[in-house]
Amino acid sequence: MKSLKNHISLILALFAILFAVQIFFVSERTVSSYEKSLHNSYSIIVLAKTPIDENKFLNRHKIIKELEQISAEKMLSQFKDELSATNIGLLKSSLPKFYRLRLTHYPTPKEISALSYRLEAQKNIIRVESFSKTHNRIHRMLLLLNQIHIFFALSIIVIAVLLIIKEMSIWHYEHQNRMSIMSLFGAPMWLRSAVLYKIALIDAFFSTLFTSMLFIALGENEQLNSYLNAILETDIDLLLPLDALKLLSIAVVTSILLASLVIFRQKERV
Amino acid sequence: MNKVIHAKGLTLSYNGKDKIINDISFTIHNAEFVFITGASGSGKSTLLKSLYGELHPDSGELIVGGVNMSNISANKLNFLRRHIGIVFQDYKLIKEWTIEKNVQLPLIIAGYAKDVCQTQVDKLLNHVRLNHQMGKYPMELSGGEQQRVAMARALAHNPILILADEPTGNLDDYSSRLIWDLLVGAKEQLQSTVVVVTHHIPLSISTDYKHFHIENGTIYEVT
Repeated sequence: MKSLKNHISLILALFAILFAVQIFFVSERTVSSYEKSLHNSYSIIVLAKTPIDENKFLNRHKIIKELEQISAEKMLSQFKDELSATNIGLLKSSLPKFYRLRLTHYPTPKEISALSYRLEAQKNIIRVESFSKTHNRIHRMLLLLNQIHIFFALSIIVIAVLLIIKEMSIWHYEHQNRMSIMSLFGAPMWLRSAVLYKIALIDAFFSTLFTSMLFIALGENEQLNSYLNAILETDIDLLLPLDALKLLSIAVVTSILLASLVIFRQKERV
Repeated sequence: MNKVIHAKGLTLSYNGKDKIINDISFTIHNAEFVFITGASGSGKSTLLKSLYGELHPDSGELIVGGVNMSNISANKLNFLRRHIGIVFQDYKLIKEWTIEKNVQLPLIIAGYAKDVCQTQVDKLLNHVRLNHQMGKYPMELSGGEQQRVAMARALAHNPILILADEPTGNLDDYSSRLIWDLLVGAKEQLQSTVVVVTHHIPLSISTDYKHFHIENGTIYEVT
């Protein structure tokens, strides 16, 4: 019971930090997955008088990843009852060539307007449809999400620092008595510090375990999953094995840092 | 006889200005039992602190166990403290450790094997009549019992020097007698040097023991 009390304050502080960090990981994954789905569904439509030379075109515009011709067959097949095959052939040859452009990444409004300008300057291209209005609205929303994300990350750092400072003063108070008594009997620094480092490592392990267990449980919750799917339209993993490793590393580094600061303060005093 | 403590022109203060001990000289030899008395605030505890390196001399010379305390390094101080047993008025036991582990502390620091530690702790706790309490924590014991634990801890590593600061200040007659017996026993059986800071010397203790008195920052031997 006594030993549990010694551990619980640090485990709680570390748990709070790890919980916030894991929320940050999940939100980062969500934003990046949303950006990816936007990127996959976004394309620019180009109308050209004559067929475009794909290699030349791709070399000229590095931001374009793929050039795909849109077939007019489907549209012309609607007229096959009203027009003769000859007329359809004539219509087909007089129609401009439709192309769908896929980009290397989800572009900024500035990149879209620059690309549209360059494309429209080409003699062969009649029209460029970049759906810029819709795109700009979505891009602004993505920027907002990213800013919230950055704000959240900064908040985590501030909370973590405050928690560590608070925890450090608690630890300093809790451990200075034992460390100074050990020092009176000639214990070297490593022996005085060993207990502290042991507690730090044990607590780092347990706080990671508890945080991981919480996120695994949340991931198994069907109601929460259905809400998330409805909002994000994509499956988001609440805890990946790599996340658990990252959390453990953060917990170990934080607790060792905390223990070292307490020891350093004690060393200054003795 | 070897000098265990030698002070010459020793001056002590906490802030470098207000001198608490001023230019004192004295010598304590091996296996001597020494009382240091004085009124409250006379500087006797301050002097004791300088003997275990908690306070460094402002000026003068202080040699403890052959080590100059003026410019002592952390490593040397740790080494010296491993040969000193200290008893405080407020016991200074580690509250989150059991009685058994508290007594083991100097032996753990000295690097003794577990079975050696255990034998010594059993012997000492038996000696202070607390072997039935070894699994308890300090807060579960009375003041007298805690001081007996502190005494057992001070004797655990057979120190060459025992420093006691008002060791019976808060104790009942039974515990006080037991502590004095243990201190005298350490001098007689272990040949340890014992320095006790106290308000008054119990009548039961031999008057042959050396007695220093501190007054107005200076020390003199009572004969």
